Amino acid sequence: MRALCWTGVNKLSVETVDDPQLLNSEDVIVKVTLGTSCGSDLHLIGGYIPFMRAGDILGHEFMGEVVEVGSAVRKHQVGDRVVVCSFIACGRCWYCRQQLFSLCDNGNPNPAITEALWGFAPGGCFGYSHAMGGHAGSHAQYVRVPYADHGAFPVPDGVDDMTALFASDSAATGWTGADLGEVRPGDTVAVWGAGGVGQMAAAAAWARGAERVVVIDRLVNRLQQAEQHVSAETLNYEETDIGGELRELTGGRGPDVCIEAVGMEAHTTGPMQVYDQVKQQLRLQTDRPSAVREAVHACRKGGTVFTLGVFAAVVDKFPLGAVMNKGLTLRGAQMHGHRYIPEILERMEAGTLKTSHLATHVMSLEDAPKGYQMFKDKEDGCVRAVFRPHD
Amino acid sequence: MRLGTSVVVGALGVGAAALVRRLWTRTSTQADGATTRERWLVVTVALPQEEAAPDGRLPEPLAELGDRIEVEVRPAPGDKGTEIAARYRDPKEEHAGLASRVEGESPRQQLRSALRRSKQLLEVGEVLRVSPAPHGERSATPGGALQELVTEVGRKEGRL
Repeated sequence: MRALCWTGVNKLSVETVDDPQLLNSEDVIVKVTLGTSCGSDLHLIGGYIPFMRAGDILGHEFMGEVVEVGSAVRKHQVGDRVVVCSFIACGRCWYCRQQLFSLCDNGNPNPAITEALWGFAPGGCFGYSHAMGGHAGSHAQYVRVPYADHGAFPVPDGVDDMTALFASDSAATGWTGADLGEVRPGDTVAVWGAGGVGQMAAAAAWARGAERVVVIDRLVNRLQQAEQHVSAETLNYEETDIGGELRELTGGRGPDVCIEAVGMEAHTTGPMQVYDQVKQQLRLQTDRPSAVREAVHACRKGGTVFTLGVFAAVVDKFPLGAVMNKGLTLRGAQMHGHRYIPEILERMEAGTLKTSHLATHVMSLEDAPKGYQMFKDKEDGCVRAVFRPHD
Repeated sequence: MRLGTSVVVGALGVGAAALVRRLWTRTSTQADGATTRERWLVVTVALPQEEAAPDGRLPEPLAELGDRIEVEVRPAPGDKGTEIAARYRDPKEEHAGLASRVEGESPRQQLRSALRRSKQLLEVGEVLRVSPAPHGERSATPGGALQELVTEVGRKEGRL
């Protein structure tokens, strides 16, 4: 089959590789019909998460058709149209039973790396390095899906492929941030980052009853999408003082919940951008946390800051004093998609959740290296590059 | 140094620091100067004790280690399931050379792997496999060899 492989730092190529096999009785093989780039892939491609091996297949956000079924699979049959959660979870360990699926004890067959880095290992993820299990990614014509009864979800007939695709990760991640950030009716929610995940976090905040949702970015086309498709107010941090704007918008209080959907390669304005860049390049910090810092400062007293963007290890100049003295709740998580995908698909079927606008550039998998470059450079207003592996 | 290379080296450095810290911890000494015995290795299985070890029977990976290990099975607090703790009866078994550890053959690694596999067998019914996974052309580099080694012993190492 054809697959998009990481071949070195900032190097990708489409290669012919072996087809996947059923390895466990609860596996299915999915013929991938659509897969999308994700901002978190850029951390892998750029070597910021250095646990890729040359030849590893990228991709974790996808949907497709079941073409082969393991002997213990009960919920799926050949021919089913499914969207697959990007995280791999067994559904039966204590964490899965608490619906903390990305923390699954059994989804990562290679726990040593993340146990050394973080103390304990989270679950596995498709195409997200050997630190997250070494599972082959979904930017391929076929992909093996472990624990398929738990991680693959039938797509309702009334939901088109391009909409369903984003239930796999973007929407489910957004739902994770708003739900675990405990957005309540009447809240004002600020979201840093107007990419796919940020827009979906804003949509999730509305779904949980927020009264006001503000999305912050610097890319005009993404802010326009947040306004048009998610009905959010928007702020461009290159044009205005975000802290001042948020205080003015919230009667001087600050947002109740601040969701950071940017991650370890954040940009900001002013000297802190230079500071973070230099420290990151000198390896004195692995991640640039400028959006988190801003969220901590902007958040109201007693509010919640949720880190939804991906971070790898250590950051500098973290405003812990503000967290403590303002009585903030600081929380983070990878996505617990198994918990939210059914609700997301229901909302898609009802027409109350729109996602297909995120697919600004749709192309053959053969063009995926070019698609990732466009996505990285935000060329031509690229919000997401979506790949069709069988075109 | 190219940017990409420096990124990889830097981030690997963070991982290496964590590993060194771990190794340091494991060779710590008691206040009287005597080397401490290795800790019990413990997993918690999300099952009640009567299902995790019915009539005291251990799952196969642990049973295979026979009398070489001592095992304690006890309920976890807060309805979190059952704790299974194990260690070698003979402390000499716990001390292995670096070579056997690199090869994934040290007794400590075998016990850790047995505990992890036991937990998966009890909770899920089988051990999750990841290999063979399809992949593109592999280049022969020191970094790749290191990655391969880390992956090989991934289930046998860690903080468990």
